[in-house]
Amino acid sequence: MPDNAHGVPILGVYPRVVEISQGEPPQQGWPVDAAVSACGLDGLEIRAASVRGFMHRARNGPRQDAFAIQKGDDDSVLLVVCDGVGSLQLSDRAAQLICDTLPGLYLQTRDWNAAIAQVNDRLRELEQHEQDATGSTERLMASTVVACRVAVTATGATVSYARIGDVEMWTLSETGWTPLVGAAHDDDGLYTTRTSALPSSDPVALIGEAMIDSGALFLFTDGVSVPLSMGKDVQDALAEWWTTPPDPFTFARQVGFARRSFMDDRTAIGVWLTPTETVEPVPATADAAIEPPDEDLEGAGEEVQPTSDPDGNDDREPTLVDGTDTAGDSP
Amino acid sequence: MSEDQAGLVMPFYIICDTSGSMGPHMNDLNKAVAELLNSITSDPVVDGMVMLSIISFGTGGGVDVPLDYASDITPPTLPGRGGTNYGAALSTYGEAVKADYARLKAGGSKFFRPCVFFLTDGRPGDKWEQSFNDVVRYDPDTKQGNKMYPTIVAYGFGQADEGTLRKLAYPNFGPDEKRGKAFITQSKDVPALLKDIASAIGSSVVSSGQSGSGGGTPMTIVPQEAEGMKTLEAEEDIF
Repeated sequence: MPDNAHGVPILGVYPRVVEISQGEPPQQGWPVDAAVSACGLDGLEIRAASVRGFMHRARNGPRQDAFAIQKGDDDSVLLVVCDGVGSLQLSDRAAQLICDTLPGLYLQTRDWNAAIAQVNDRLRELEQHEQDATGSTERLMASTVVACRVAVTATGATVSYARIGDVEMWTLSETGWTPLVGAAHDDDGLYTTRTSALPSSDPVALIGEAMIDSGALFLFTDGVSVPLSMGKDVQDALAEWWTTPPDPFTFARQVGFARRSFMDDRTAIGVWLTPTETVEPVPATADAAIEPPDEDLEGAGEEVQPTSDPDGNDDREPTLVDGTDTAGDSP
Repeated sequence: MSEDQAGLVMPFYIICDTSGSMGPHMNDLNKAVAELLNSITSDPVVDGMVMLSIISFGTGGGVDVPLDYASDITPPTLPGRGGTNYGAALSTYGEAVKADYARLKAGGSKFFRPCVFFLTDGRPGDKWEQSFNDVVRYDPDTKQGNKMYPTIVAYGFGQADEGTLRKLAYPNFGPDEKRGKAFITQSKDVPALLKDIASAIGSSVVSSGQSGSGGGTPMTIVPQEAEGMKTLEAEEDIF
């Protein structure tokens, strides 16, 4: 590396798209082409990157993906990944607004549905404002979103998540990649990018919980998850790169990998479980025995078993705790 | 044939009439096809998004270029094929798209809806409607028919018939989204005409490839009216 002027690795057949120039200066100062972040908690190591795709670079369009990482309650971390709907011109702003507001709203309510409803209202207000400013009645913005709260336990981590649209969550373990919250892209043999998104007249999220006891958890926009799900060589490469957390700049370059026919923006947040600091054993007393340990949750240490999937993706969705995915209201 | 690798395939099929009446114009047709390929390969983004196949027909039909990325296609020399049987053209297309889908799906690829560009200088000499129904008809309520129906853009010149072109482009059953566009011209300057049609198709393919920019669903952007051509509007009573 770098394999080309864009500094991204090539996976598979040489894609001629790496020959394009860096493009013209953007009309607006934000969003920037790439965003990178790295942080950690005791027991977790986190990397995040969002990279403008080749299609947007070639057409001088903005990156429409966004992500957020924010400290949560009780030593947890909140993660958000958004994918602005490409057919609407202000979708990058929708993605950014969700990232800016959803973690805080969740911390106020501890309720993904309530937080998403409030974000939805704010998005509708923003869209209305922009429509009024331009005299337009057309849809101007929409974004998919996957968000989660990750908290370390004695045996791994608990993940409480919410999702609207075709953003995904995967796990990487010694056995390879497994979709935790996936999306259907097939429509009787034809590929489709139709998706539910915010704002919506009926913002119903897929909400659930899962336990992870080893490896890493990833939140992806479909710029990453679609080529990952379609290519064994992509799975192998990303598994080799991300078995352990790379440095943040390497991670960003890898997220931006070039592959023929996949030119969307790419965003990934990786959360690696790392050994926690050694804790001195507490002497056994009556009080200590009564206090239940935090990790003594029902089902702790076990992944929630997949059940039937409202999208028709058998084996890809964990247990629905509340709500269902919405198929309507696609922009 | 390009190296097999799972991808998102946006397929375009160019169906060319190479009947006897096209004999004097075959060099121009081959040149137009080569220019079309060149216009696509000159844009690396589009070249990575779309795949093309070229089918010629006369009395019978044949696949001259199997579905592939433009940069992996050698410009063909299309063969003359005798009469003007639309049924042969559409049957050949139907078999080709089925085989292409099976081949690419086996390699892990996924298809967007196909688009067909149909170029003809004559009226059909056969009963073609059944072949047309086989590849285009789909009922979304009963899910009977061909779910992978294409969008058809028809270009007619010479002896081509307006009503037939309308039928090809605007079948009045199933979802409206399959509706393509029909164009006709009385121009006798076939070399210039073929060049303009190739240019319009190239713009359509490039625009379609670009329409998938980030999250947006790539869709067929039907061509604008080429120089000297008339757009035929849909009629309600077709079929």
